[in-house]
Amino acid sequence: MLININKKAEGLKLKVPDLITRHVGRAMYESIKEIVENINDGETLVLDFNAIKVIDSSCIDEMIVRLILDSMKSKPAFYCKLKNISEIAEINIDLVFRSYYSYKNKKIVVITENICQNNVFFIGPLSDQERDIVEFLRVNKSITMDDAVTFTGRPREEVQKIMDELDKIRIVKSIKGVFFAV
Amino acid sequence: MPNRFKDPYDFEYVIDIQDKILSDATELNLSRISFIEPYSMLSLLLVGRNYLRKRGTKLVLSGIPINIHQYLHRMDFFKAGVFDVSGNLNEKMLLKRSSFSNRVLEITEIPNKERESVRVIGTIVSVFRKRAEHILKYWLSDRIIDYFVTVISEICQNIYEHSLDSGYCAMQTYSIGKENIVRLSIGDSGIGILKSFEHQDIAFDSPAHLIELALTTPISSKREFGYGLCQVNAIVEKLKGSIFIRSGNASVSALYHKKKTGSSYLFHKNELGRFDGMQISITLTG
Repeated sequence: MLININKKAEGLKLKVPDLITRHVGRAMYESIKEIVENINDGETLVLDFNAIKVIDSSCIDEMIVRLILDSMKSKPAFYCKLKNISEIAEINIDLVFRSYYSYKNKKIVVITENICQNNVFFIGPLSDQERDIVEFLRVNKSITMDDAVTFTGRPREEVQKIMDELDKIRIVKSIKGVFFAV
Repeated sequence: MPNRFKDPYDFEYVIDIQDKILSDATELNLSRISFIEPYSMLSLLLVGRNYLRKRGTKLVLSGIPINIHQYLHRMDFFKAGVFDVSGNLNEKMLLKRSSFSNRVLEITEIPNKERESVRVIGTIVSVFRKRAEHILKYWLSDRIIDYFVTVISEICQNIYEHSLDSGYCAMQTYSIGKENIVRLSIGDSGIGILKSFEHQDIAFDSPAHLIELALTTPISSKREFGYGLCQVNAIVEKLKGSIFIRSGNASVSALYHKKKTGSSYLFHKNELGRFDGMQISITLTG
């Protein structure tokens, strides 16, 4: 499912190209949430930020963070992916996600369609091992647990734990023992 | 009034005599002022508003030099309605909204209600985007415009989120000698940072230390954690600018343009003259 954020904001009569303030974030979230209620199990929600320049931390907190938290709780499961994020939006999203991790000890990470400034395809606080696995999966599209164990060279139990965590935070899709890229 | 309107540090002299102004004065004679920059202009406006709130009457500004009067009028200083002016300027002498307009964001009041503030902040950002190529003429890139939109948005939201008062925002680019300066200023007379955090379990050594914590770590007086000032600070550092924050009787200056490995760039001041609320000045120099 693809949502054009610029069109959505215009539809809500919000001023673009900047999505700023909590008020705007809440309005966007409520509107997107209505659509997400009809999402299929395992489907990816792609938020396309084409033509959006700035998203400030308040708006990120009210819109993107809440959608990602919903995706973690939601049954049927859905996954979030961001597309066409501007440089400043990426910086702001990263700050918000890292603050969550520092202060709530809760990992919030999102996959991106385009390459980010640190040469990865996600925003958020992942460990080096998690980062390697996510990149390995992105290149290979799908992997088994055996593939992940071979790739990392770590004990199976340890890798299983990492894969479960990545699945829990919705940045890999686990279907019948096979892991798919979001 | 002393000629102390050249920068935030200079304006401390005016703050030091604020109590005297609030209790004894009926008129401020500005005849000695030769220059006034955005932070001092907003802070003078706050002094006037404090006076109006305390005394119920407007302070009179007199002896305003023509160039200062033209500038203040052009920046919508008098629109706030907190001062009476003795000797209004002839209409023919007022500055027109010409090319000069492109280098400023006029004083705009940020209300203390969320819904109205959101509308006002949206308008400020729209005007800034339209004028950015002139305001940021010496620093221009799409990246820097977007950075400043984030900064404007974050610090303006702080007013209605934390101060419990309305505030003002203004921005201008100007030159002093060979130096080009762009300065964004925001000020309110609200509860200030110390009171804002009084129910939070945050350890700090002094009011200035608390300001530094708010600037450099994602603490919040309203939520479990916050991002606003911390993100503003990160952007100012990235742009090698400087930020001055004053609240109550303390201030912090972060001079990132002077930051060198190992050298001091963050300065605390405590026990300054009392000035309610929070005032911020963000500067790029080039």
